[in-house]
Amino acid sequence: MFAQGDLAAGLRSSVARDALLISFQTSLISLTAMVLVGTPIAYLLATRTFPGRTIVVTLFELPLVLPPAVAGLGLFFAFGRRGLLGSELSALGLEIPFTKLAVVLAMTFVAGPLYLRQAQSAFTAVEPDLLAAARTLGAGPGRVFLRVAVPVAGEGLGVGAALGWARALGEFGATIIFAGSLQGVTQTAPVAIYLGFEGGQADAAFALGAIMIAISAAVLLLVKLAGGRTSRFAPM
Amino acid sequence: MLALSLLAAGCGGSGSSSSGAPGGMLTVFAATSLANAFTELAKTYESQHPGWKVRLSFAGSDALAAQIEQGVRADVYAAASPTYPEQLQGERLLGSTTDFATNSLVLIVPSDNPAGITSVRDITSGAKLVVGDAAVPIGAYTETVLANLGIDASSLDIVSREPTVTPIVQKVGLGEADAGFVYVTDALAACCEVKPIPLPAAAQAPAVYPIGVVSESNQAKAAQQWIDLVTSSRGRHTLGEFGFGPAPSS
Repeated sequence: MFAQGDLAAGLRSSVARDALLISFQTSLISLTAMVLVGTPIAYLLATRTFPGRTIVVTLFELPLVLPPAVAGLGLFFAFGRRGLLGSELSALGLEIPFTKLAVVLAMTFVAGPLYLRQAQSAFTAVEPDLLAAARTLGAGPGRVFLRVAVPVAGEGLGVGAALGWARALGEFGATIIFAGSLQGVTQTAPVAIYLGFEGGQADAAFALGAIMIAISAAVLLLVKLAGGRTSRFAPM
Repeated sequence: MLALSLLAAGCGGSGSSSSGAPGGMLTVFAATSLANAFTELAKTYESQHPGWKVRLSFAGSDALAAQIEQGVRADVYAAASPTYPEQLQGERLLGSTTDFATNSLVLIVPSDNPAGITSVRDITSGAKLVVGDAAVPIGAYTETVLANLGIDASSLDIVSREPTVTPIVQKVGLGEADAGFVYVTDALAACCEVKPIPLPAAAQAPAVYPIGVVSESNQAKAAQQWIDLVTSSRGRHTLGEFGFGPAPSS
């Protein structure tokens, strides 16, 4: 369909380079956020029962079934200038829409629940006896989490992180609504592909798309290989 | 499998283009700004041509042109700028076109006007601006308007270049942006969430709308009848109701 030459030419365009840079920057920040925040939450959800647990889990997983465009509007309602937190944020000098932070927020909102679900499932698969044994040996809850649960659930967490990152990388609807599109600031690769395809730059769009597919496939492959055995913490 | 494909062929409904045909499905690709006017004209067409259904597909003129280039079936193409029809004609994908309407641009602000904009030059004092991407007609026309006004785009706080015009109206309507450039027809349709700030006549970029029959259409006759309706006095009246200007006099 297109030759190597087209691929190289597509890559040379500043639109493609800027888009890839923004996509990687924002998706990696988003991944960090969802892992740092989501891992302890997933552990708690997997190992504790408390009243209202089902509702909490449902709320956390809601973005998974929400159409991305609705998610984008929701982010405006929460974090926009006129949103619920708008005046508080403005007082702090923060206007979030149309910024890189908006891109990261949109990605985290949409992809975070995916990581959360995988992580929860990974922690659930950890033998409770292991955790109990650690407690009886004198480890506090934090240590049990960090030194026992996380390493044992490691492969499942890794798969979850890969999926969450891939989802963040591919996010389009929520980002284009909440963050808009500006080359070099908020224009991610999926948005650039969409614009390129429309604006008659199909070659650049295809090239960018091919890169995205290659990178996503490489990451998934790496995670699978690094994990070694497959079935013990079977991903969903 | 065979039954399914027979069923599909029967229901797909591409009617014959010869006269006396019982009917079929006409696919019209039109720029987003034409949505309201064409939806109404579709009802007229269907009552004038019993047995015919009009399937309308609205998107940016550039997106529709890309779809036609990629082989998506359409019978009529109506664009918000001559750029993409000319491109398709160069690729022999579109027949000759007729200019059937004009549109003009306007600056819109949220109904409570947070940045206190009273004239278009006020946008240079740091107001958050949402415009169309240069690839889409509204974006190209906006660049023309700014050039006519002698305003350097890099001196403006443009926060987003949207691929279609609808999100510009929405974001200004939500109050998340201070101003945006859209078509007069969009400002009319969004009357109460946004306030229009008219542009000086000298700065205007008159948008010309061409319409033509897609070369690969196998319903050229029905397609031409749609174009005849759009260019008739009925069509002109409907377009005028939604804020379009008359076709440029040839």
